[in-house]
Amino acid sequence: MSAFDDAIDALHESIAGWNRGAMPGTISRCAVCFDAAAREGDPRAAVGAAVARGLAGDHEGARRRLLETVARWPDAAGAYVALGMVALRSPDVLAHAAEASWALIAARSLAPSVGCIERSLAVALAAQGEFMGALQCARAALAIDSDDEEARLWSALMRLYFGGDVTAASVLTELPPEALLRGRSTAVWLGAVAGFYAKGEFHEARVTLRKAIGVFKQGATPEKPLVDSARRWFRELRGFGAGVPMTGERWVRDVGGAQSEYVRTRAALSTFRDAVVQSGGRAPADVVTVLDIDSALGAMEARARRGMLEYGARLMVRGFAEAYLPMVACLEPPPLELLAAMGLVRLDG
Amino acid sequence: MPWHAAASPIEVPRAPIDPETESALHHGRYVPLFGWGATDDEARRVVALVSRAYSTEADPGAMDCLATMLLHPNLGTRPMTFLAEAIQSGAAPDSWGRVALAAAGLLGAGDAVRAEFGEPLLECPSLRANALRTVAVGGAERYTFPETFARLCAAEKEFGGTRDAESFTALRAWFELVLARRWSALDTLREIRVESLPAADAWLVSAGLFLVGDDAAKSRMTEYASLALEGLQPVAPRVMHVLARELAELVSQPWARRWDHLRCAAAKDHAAAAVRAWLSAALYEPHDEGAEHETLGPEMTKAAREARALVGGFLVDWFVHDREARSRVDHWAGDVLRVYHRLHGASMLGSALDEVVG
Repeated sequence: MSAFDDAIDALHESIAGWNRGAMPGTISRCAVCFDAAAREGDPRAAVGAAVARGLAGDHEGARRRLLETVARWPDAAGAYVALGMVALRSPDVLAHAAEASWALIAARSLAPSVGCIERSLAVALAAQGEFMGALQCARAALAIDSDDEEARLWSALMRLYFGGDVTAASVLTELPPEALLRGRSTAVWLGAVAGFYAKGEFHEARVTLRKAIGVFKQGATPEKPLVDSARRWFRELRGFGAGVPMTGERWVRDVGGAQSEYVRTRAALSTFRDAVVQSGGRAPADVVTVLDIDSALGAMEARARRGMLEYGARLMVRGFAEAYLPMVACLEPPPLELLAAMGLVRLDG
Repeated sequence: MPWHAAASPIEVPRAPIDPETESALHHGRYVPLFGWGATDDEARRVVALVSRAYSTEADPGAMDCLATMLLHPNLGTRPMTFLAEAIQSGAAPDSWGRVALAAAGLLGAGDAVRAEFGEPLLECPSLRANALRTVAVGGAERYTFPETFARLCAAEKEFGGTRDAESFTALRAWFELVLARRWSALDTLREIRVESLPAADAWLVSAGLFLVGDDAAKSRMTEYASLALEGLQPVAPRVMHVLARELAELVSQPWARRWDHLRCAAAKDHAAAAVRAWLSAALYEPHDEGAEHETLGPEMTKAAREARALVGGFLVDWFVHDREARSRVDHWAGDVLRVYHRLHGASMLGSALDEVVG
């Protein structure tokens, strides 16, 4: 058996025994075997060596090795996939989202129509704040595999917060039971929190948050940032109130209250409109007409609504990525299909 | 050639300005303000310069030509530094400093010249408030309104609790209302006891209220302008005409100005402000998350910190995308500030005239 095959066995063994991280002894052995194989000039082994280090917690070392691999073998899609995966599993996801995006875009152009690459790219683009691109990638991943629950989760989140589609809330709430049956961790409950909150089911949302963070030990220092990050995101989600912030009766609250700049500008424009109407021709028609003011009022509201959706999406979806991805990285090993996309599988027969 | 080596450098140019004088001024053959030192004669010369610029015989370009004499290309701000040192040591009365600052305002010097000219006088405690008005109030020339606003905010804090505090609050609120289109500043301007402010500051407050459609503001602007110019008629007979013309220009199109201001207000990023309000609401609302976790600190997620950083700055509120309206409001604000400096200069000169000329 070659060093590479040994390394693959060790990698799969460490993943099979995943418990909030890879099995320390096995992943070290895996890294050593991959190093030995990499010395023979196998790009897959170089990728594997970097991935093993990333899974052992050395994200910076993994990233550096992968950038070297990419420079040496620029046509190896696996290195780009690994770079994207390592970036998305790093503790500060938002800081590495742009790097993950470009790496996965490169991987997609080298290996098109691979579901896990499309899905990972959707996640990276969402974390970066490129929601339209993220939605398109999530849909592409669903077109390849309609059962991809991770792609459904991100697609629904984007539809809810970027598109203002409240029906996506149901998708988010129905998703976790199915995902748990497929062996996913309790982190998937976090998406359901957004769904319940959007539907106005506040108690359910709170209970679901507890389900998502309940697996972590209370007060345990290594896991505390994960719990706090989810709680912070939930607190900011609550700032929005129930549902997407576009409904009529909540508009004044959504724009910041009766003394907000929006409300007062609107009031000033309305007063000005009345003054123009009552001026009896003193207001020069070539300067301003009632139609101009109505148009300004309409444009202001439309721009504010659109901006709120965009900013809200930015805040909620990126905040979700910030809380959810480290939780997933802690509780779940990288999926096998992603390892396959890196070439880190043994092909029997 | 050093400036003092020139044969007969100009001390007080004739008016109307002839080509020889213009050429001499252009080549630095003149004695800048307080160029002969901090003396009584120099203070009188400053008054004479202003008087010449606003004399009935002066041509329209006289003010610009005489404004050249505020600074000198070789000497820079040294004469003003010497004057400031003399005032600080008690060798010169602060009325001389007031006269110098008044000249900068009345001669219509631009932001950069005014700032350079007045900067040394900031060191004199008795003149600091007036020097700050001369130096800090501006921004139209190089679109430095955000920097001006920051300086006014600092000045407001610095003068807190003194009799100048309300003036600087008014100046700061004027910038916020006119250029950042913040309506909370309108409330501040309405709450200020205008009668207690110096005439020029009160005039500026009235100009701000005029912009937002206050019917009585126009007459108040005239009233405060007359108050600022009180006693100056014998020294600068043309000042009233010049200011009347500039005032008429400012108030000539009330509908257009108000509409431009409202267009800018409507073009602001209200969505970003709303998100900020949501985030604040989220922070301060009590959340029942159960007793199993300790209370969450006020830190936000990184995504929220980035969203919050998008709003709240003067620059963001001022630099709206409706360029046409913004440019017209900026231009109007620049004109208002030029008149403000003339009025402020007139007030200072009026108050120092008896001490200097007798």
